[in-house]
Amino acid sequence: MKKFHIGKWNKGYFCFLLLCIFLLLAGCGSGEYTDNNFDNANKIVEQLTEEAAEQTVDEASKNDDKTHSEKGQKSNKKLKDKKNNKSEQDSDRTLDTSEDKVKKTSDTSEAFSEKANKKKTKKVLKSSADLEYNKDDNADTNPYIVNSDGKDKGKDKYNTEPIPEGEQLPVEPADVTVDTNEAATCSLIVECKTVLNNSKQLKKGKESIIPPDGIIYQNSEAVFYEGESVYDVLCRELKEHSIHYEFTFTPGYNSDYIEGIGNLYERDCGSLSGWKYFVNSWSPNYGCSRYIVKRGDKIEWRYTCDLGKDLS
Amino acid sequence: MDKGHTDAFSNLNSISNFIFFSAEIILIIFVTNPILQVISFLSAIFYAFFLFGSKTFLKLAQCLPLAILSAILNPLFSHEGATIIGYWYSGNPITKESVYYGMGMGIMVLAMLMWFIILNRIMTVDKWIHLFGRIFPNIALLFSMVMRFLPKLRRRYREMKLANPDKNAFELFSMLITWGLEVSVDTADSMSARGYGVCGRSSYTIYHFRMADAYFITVSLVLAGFVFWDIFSGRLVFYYYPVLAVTGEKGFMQFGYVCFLLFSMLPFILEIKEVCKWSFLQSKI
Repeated sequence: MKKFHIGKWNKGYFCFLLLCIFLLLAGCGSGEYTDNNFDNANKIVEQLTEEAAEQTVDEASKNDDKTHSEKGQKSNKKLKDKKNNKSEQDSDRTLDTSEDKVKKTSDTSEAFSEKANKKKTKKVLKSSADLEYNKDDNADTNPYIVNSDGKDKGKDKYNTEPIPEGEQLPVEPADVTVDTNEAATCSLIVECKTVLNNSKQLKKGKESIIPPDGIIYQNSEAVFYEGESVYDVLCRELKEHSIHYEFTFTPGYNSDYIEGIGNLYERDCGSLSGWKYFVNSWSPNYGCSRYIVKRGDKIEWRYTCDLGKDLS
Repeated sequence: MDKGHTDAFSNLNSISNFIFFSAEIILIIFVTNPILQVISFLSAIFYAFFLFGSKTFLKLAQCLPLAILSAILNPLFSHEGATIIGYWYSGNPITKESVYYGMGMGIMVLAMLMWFIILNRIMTVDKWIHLFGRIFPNIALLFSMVMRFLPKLRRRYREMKLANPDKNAFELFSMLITWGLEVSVDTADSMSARGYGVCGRSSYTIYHFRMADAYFITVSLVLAGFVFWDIFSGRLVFYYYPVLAVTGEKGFMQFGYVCFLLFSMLPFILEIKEVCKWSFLQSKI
């Protein structure tokens, strides 16, 4: 008997398959800002240091005069110390392999005294050439970082209250392009000290995840690339150290919202608890995807048990 | 043996059946302890096998996609848990605990569906009417009609397919809906014409409250009460997040599990008792 046009099993499983595909798509599409830089980060930094060394040596030997000519001299001097520190710290933190390479090369160069002398001269050249290379790296040149003049009294379209004078204005995360060639460091700390004082309110079963000193993560030299937001820096650092976190993108505020870090979630310690962020001791009144990090920023992620009143 | 109404559990009064099912289903729905869920699931399978024979596997296979779906869905939406396996494309982590939680939910769904299949078999329409016909005549009737609606539709669908082999599934479905609406109007007219729900109207039932019912209700209430007491005093609480953990003292916990196992197995134990009695008497003759 020809009675099945669409087979009984086919029909059911077709629907099931469709549902699965839909849900998978929904799950995959829920986050809009992905951390693509993470995979390439190590490679790029590695390449950067090596290439920079090679290129700048060549350039510097040819164009000694040019480096001293232009207006960047003053800022260069300031930058010099910072930059040297920074590159050392970078290699200390993320690039064990490249550090080894450098050590090896330096060992061999010491073995051959003539070459060592050459290298030393090259190193001197390199540092001066470094300056030219990093001239654009000045935080002030980043077009996304604009401080508020305090004149704007209205709310923006995401209902953000006016930004106080002297504080950084929010950006639209979609407009910002991250320049992975421009790396710098900032300090990052994630702590939940307020939970220690309110341990009675803490959700049962979560006691084991609270560190005794309340500090979940701390890094005084977190690497970031020009144009990255506080959110990007946090996620990369936590991912690198395989610390758990969860976020959701909130279209209403055009920003990602950090729900939990290290399994400590919002509302886990009383109904008024959650994660707040501070940059240079100011808690911005907009989301963490809209704050562009600049060199030397002090980023703090702090857990509050009372809507932030217990943090100030 | 796989004919309904011949087994010991369904021979009990509808009140006993109802108390057992409601306690069992409430217990597994509100407790996230996977051990309790597995116990419930296994005892449901045992009893279903007694009722349906090898058809149990078919029924189980029909329920399985839903359970698998819930196991897949949970890690998609829940990212809590200490052990990170990987990251979704969106950037949120996939954690071992959320996968386990999804599996636990899957087993719960399976157990619940199996118990509902059994309930559908045991609690026939006349039992529902016997239970609630006097207290809530309309609701009882509605409920009994709802309970038999889907099987009826399925039967009718098969008939329609045989009669109209050239029509496709959508046309058949539309016919089915038309028929369903028409029949419900007819039924309502017919029922009111026969005086359903009129005050002072008596109804005859074949169910009587016997000593066996009293024993069964006492035992099941005592056992379920122990389990409830254990749960409410926080002894059988199971945490999936941040790491899998069971709370409570060992002795008490095992006591709770044993109570729940006995409770879930009650219908099966009744059947075994009947079978033993039957074979014992048979050998005497």
